[in-house]
Amino acid sequence: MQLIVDDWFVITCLSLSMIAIWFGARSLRQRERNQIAVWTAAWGVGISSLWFHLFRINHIFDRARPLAEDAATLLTYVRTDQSFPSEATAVGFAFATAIWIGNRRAGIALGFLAFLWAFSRVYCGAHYPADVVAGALIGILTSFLMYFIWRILKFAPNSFIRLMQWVHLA
Amino acid sequence: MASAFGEYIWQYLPLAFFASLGVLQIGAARADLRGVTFFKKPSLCYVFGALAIAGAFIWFYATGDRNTEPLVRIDDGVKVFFGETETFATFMTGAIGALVVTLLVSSIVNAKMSSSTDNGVPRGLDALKEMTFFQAITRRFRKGG
Repeated sequence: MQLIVDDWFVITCLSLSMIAIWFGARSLRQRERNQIAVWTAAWGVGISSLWFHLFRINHIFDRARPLAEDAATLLTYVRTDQSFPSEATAVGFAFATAIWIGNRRAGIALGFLAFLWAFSRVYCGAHYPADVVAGALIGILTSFLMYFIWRILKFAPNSFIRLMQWVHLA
Repeated sequence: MASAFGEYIWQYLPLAFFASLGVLQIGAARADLRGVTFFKKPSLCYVFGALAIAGAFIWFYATGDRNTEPLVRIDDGVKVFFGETETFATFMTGAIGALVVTLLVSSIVNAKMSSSTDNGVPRGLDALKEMTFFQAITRRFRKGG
C-alpha cells in the first residue's frame, strides 16, 4: 500500500506501459491498434489534467482533504488543495480506458492498477470515496470523448503514426 | 519537510530514464526488433530490461522518503503541489532520453547487422527487424524518402 499510494509508483508504471504497448506488439495489425490506443491515452490524460489545471474543476466544490493537519501521516503527506474530484484517479482511469479500447488485456491490467491507486487514495485519507468515483468518471468519459473525436478526425492520429513510421519509430 | 522542486526532478529523471531503457529492451526483444536490442539473445534483453527497471525503482525508493515528504514549488509565496501531470512531463523527458540512447547504442552495437543494400527499407518499426535505426534512416534519405 505504501508503494501504491505515493505520487510516483503508479504514474510511472502507467507511463512505462505506454512505451511497452507502443513498441512491444508482435503483429503489424496489433501494433497499429496499440499505437492508436497510446495516442488516445496521451490525449485522454492531457485533457483530464486540463479539467484540473486550466478549468480548475476541483475549485468548484470547496471540500477539504479527509486528512486533518494533525493526523498521523505514515502513508502520505497532508495535501492542502481541494479534495473533489481526484486528479490522480482521473489520470489513472483515462490511461486505462484509452488502452482498453485498443488492447483489452493491457487495458484490464491498467484498470486494475488505476483501481488500486484510487483505493489507496481513500485508504490513506487523501480523498473521500466520492472524490475517486468522480475522478474515475472524468477519466473514463474523457478518454471515450477523445476516442470518438479521433475517430471522426482520423487523419490526425493516422498522420502522426505515418510520420513516426517514416522515421521508423512506429 | 518539503524538498526542493529541482532536487526531486533530478531524483525522478534517472528512474524514468533507466526504467524506460529497460522497457524499451524488453519491448524490442518481444517484437523481434533486432536492430534496437543491445544483445543478440532475446533472453539477455529481458534480463537487462528487468534489471534496469528493478534497479531504477530500488534506487529511487532507497534514496528518499517518497511518501510523507511532499514535492512542492513556490508560486508567489503559495505552496503548489507537484502533481501527476508534472510527474508525467518529467517522465516523458526521461523516456525520450532513453529512446535516443537506445537508438544510438543499438546502432553502434549492431553496426554490422545488415550488409545488403539492394532491398528496399521496410515500413516503420519493421525495418528495425533487419537493420539498425541509423541504417534505416540513412538508406531512406539516400533513396530520397
